[in-house]
Amino acid sequence: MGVSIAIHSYRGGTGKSTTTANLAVVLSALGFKVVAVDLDITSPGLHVIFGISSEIMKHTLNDFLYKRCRLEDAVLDITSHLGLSKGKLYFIGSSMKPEEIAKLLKEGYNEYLFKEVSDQLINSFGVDIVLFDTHPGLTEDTIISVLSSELSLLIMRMDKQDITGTYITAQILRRFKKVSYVVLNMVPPKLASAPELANEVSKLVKAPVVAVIPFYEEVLSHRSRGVFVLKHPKHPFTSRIIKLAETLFSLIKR
Amino acid sequence: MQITSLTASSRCFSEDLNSTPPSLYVGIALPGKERRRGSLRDFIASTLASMKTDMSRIESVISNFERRIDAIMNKIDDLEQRVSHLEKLLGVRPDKGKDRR
Repeated sequence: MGVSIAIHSYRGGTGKSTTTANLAVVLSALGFKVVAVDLDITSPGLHVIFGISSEIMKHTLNDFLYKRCRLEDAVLDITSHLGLSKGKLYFIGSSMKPEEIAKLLKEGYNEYLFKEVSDQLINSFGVDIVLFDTHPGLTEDTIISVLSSELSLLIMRMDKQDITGTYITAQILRRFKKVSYVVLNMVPPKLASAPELANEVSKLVKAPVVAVIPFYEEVLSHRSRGVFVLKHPKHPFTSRIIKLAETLFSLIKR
Repeated sequence: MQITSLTASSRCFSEDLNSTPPSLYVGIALPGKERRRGSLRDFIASTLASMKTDMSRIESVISNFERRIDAIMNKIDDLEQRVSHLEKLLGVRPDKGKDRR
């Protein structure tokens, strides 16, 4: 049975899309059938990291939400595009066209369709893991996308705005009875080396910390031009993502 | 039908579906398209509205947390200073590569 995971954060710029793309690649390299879905429908960008042009994306999630195509029409097999030799990696992108985003904002959409996306992917197409890259914050649409998945990964940085926001987000998710885990991202390297950090954050947000990823200049310099783990397989960031993937796998197995 | 079956698959990940407030899955099982439309949004809005968040308490919790993190940082700084002092005494060159964890 597959699982859907929402990758979410209270604020923007925490590294949700970077984490989603890199995690998706590592999970598929571990042999899983993975789908990365860009649910950041008002500011999509995951396709940029995967190096997918709008020409290749014949259909988007927007088309599915407005019944202009079937879900399978919006699914792109990017396994060979990324040069992956193991597992399977698929992608569903959202439209970057301003008129499409405006339509979503103006007309809305059937909120149950997000759930249907993971439902169909898992039950009809035999997908192991669906990763939802969400829009940050606590808007209704964002909460819908988080609630449409089985568990959520809250990405947070160690700054006060993020800490406060993640504390509140975790509180809300508990209210909705959703299981969440925390990934500390872009942590000052000195602080990342402190063994007690994960425990302190877990105690605060009442959710287990599953990864502590230090800030790496190289990830920033990479500037979303491709998937980092593929270009830098020996970099410590890649090791952290592999460890996160293994942790998630053990949690899912339970 | 499809939605109902997903509901079942989601159960192993939720904590307790029978406790209040009503879980998300109750909303999803509502019959009829018209009734379903908007009901999840309503559910989210009403759940958030019922939260009665005490912001001053949250601010106090976060401040305490910040103090603990500061203490961790100070401890690391202190250790680094001691190591650097020892390195000077022993004439050892610091290993710059250590930063790349």
